[in-house]
Amino acid sequence: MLLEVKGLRKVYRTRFGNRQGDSRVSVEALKNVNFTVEAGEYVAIMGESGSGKTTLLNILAALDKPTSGTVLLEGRDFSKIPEREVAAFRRDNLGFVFQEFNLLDTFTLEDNIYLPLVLAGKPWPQMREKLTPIARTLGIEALLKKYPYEVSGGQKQRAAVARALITSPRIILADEPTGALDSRATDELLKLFAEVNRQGQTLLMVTHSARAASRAGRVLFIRDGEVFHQLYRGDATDALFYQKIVDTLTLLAKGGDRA
Amino acid sequence: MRTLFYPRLAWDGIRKNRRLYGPYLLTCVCMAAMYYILGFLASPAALALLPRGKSSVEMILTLGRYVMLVFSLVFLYYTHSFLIRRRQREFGLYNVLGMGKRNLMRIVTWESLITFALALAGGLLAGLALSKLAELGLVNLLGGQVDYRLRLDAGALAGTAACYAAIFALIWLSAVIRTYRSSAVSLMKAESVGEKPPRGNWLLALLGAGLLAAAYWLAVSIDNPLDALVWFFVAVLMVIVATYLLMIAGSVRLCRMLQRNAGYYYRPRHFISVSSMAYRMKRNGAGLASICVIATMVLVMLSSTTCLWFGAEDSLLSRYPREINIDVRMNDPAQLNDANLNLFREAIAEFVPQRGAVLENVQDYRFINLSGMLKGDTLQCDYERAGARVRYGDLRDVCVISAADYAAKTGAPLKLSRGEAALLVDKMRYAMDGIALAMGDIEHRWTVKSVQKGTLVEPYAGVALPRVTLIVPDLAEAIEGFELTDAKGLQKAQIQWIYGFDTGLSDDDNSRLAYDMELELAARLFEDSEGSGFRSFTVEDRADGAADFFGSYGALFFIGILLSAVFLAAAVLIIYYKQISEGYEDAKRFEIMQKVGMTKPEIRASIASQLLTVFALPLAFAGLHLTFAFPMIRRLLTLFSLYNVGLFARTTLVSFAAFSALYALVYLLTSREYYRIVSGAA
Repeated sequence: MLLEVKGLRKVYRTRFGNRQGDSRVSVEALKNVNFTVEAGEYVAIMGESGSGKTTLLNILAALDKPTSGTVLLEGRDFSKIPEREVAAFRRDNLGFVFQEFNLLDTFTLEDNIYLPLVLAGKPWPQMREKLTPIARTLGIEALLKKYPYEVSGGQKQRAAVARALITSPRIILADEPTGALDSRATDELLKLFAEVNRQGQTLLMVTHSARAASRAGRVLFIRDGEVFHQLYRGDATDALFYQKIVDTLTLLAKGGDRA
Repeated sequence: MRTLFYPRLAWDGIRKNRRLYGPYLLTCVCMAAMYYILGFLASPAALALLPRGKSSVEMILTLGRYVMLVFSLVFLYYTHSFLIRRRQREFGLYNVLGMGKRNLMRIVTWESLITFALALAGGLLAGLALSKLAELGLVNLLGGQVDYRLRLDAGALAGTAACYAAIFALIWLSAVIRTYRSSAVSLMKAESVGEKPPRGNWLLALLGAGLLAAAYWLAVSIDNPLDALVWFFVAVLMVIVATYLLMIAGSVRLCRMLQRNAGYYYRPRHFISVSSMAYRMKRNGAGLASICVIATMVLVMLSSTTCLWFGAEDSLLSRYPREINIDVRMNDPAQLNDANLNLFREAIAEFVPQRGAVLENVQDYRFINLSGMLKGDTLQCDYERAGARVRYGDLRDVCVISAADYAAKTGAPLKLSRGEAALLVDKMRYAMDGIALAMGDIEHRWTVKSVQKGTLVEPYAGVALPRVTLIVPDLAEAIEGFELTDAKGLQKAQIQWIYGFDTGLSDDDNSRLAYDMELELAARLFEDSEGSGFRSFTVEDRADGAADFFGSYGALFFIGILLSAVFLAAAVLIIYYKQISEGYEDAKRFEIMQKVGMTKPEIRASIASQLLTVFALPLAFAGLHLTFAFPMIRRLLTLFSLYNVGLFARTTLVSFAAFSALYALVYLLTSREYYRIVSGAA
């Protein structure tokens, strides 16, 4: 078992609230989240805005700490990692793909992709060796010397995927990776994700797009801070799986009980 | 209510952007106040308080005022365009929401009016409040009697209002034109468009390096103070242009070169810093160059004016070697005989004790002063003979003194045979075996016995030419047969007798003594020596000269401090805006770096090292400029009778140290603002 999430709860306290001023209001973003991810799986997490998706992802990314509950990556407890090692842990074990690409505009695509390796202190020839096959898979060999402002959104996102892949992470966490892409670029990216997953890369993608989720092997639905339901693809085609996802979403929207 | 819509919108805009507008307004206030203060100090009411040197003070203050005005215009214009650029997005939003260009211009106009009103009111109030302080400072510096009546000068008030109204009108006009020209979409997009990577221009970088090298070479190679005066401004311009070129193009070029070196570039410590520095320099090159130029200006001004002020005493002593200095000029060297001179000596010896004074440290010597063009080993004193073109570089100030007077003056006996001369050279070199003094076709020649550095006769203020002093066996022979008056009746050679002494009297008594003695001597000697042909004689007292010296140097020192303060304020503002704008731009980058696995301490360390580089760069460059300017300014200071290199070195070092400390303080304070913006967004 690669990733194990047990009894995750996250409560935010805000100073919002009533006019008296000092009484704090707490918001329960995650109530009780439990799930596991096997190595080589491709899991999508769906849910509406405010369902706790982002909170969950931040905790999985070790960017935020849960109020209670544990996250284990290959049996290692996130909460046991000392603060100063968290960044290095994240760099070595996790890869990230964001909605807004998050490429640094001061770097060429190539240098953006190298960034995590440079930070890890890897020597230059080794970096180049790692990049070549990845760039070929993602079809960005010709773009490496270009700057982010010179390429399209889809191309930027592929560079971001390359940056996530280059450290050979245990798991890639993707946060709405298709959110800023047009439909053609979305299709291409999803194909790439499927290809990468076929080669053995574990993927965890947060999305609200049923189309994106329908390419995954399993979909988790989150509502009100809990895993509300999950669907396995099994032998279903993309189209059929898509239909099942949409049905579940409709049910979720109606506020009905689990199917 | 409707009529108040635009003013309110404008006021809101200013209030919401107070982090940007606050410092801008403060600078406006500071500049207007300073302009008023300079005008006020140059007004008759304030000048009347000064004990001496009124006219030189007035001239220097007025000059300072012009500098202030030009600087205000350039600087406020530049700063305001920065403000407007930062607000493009807001204007774009208004435009999208349905405001036309016309409405936007109304907002801009109201904004200009409000800032102008605030700046002027603040400036005049601050000016009025501080003018008394400045007056006390100046009067005190020049040793006048201070009083505590409050004065204000209507003329200076009106002048300040008019000048700053004009400056603001220009700024307003440019803002309106800028708003008119931009389109809604471009206004909105201004900040989100990806930026092209900087590509430093090779040609500009090389040009900058070349210019700088040339300027430095000029500064160190020029020996002649008059040449220095002419070339100083050329060198200053070259250095300014070179600084901008190097900071804008050169620095980016350097970063690019480092990036090409993979072994160097792909290291955790260099990767982020080098690539962000290229962008930082592209954006801030001009700002950093401005800081550097201002810093250099302040340092040059501070070091030289303080040096002049603290060296005034020395300059005074070199200009007035004794408390009373008598300078008698004759038509003919034959008249410099003891019989004639004894008339003076006796009259003085009789007159001085009557005033209860003594004759001490008497200086008594004769010399001839002329100027000539040095060609080979001949000093041609007739310019028409020297050739059609008079070349400045060949011009020499020539002094001739007899071996006997030299021995009497210095106490060092000098043996010279007939036809031999000993030379003293100043600001020049001389390596010939012989030397000749010529007037037209008549020429006297000596063999050179020795050449030493130095000058015997105290140089006059303003005598900046290289000087050669000839010590010869006989003074009269040296110019025998020379035609001493030119076609216009002007004397070509000064045949002088110098008689100086100290009296032990107070300054005021000395002034009175000098004045009375001049009358007395005139009455006695012009009657006694009818036809003996004194051309002129003057009696100067040091106390009187001190008034002028301390007046003008004091005013220069004062204005040096005032203008330095204003320039410093401007530099502070540039630094502040640089930090703020970088903060906004870096915030996003900071966030991304964190997401891709950099720790906060790592990011902080990288940013700190970049900020430090950007901080140190202008200061280091200013230090370099100052080092190379040093020899040139030292020569210029000799025009002010200042020869004390040690003093100038000290004031330069102290100025640099003080400036660095202040600069570091400002940088620390503004860095906090930067970190606040960056971490607030992360």
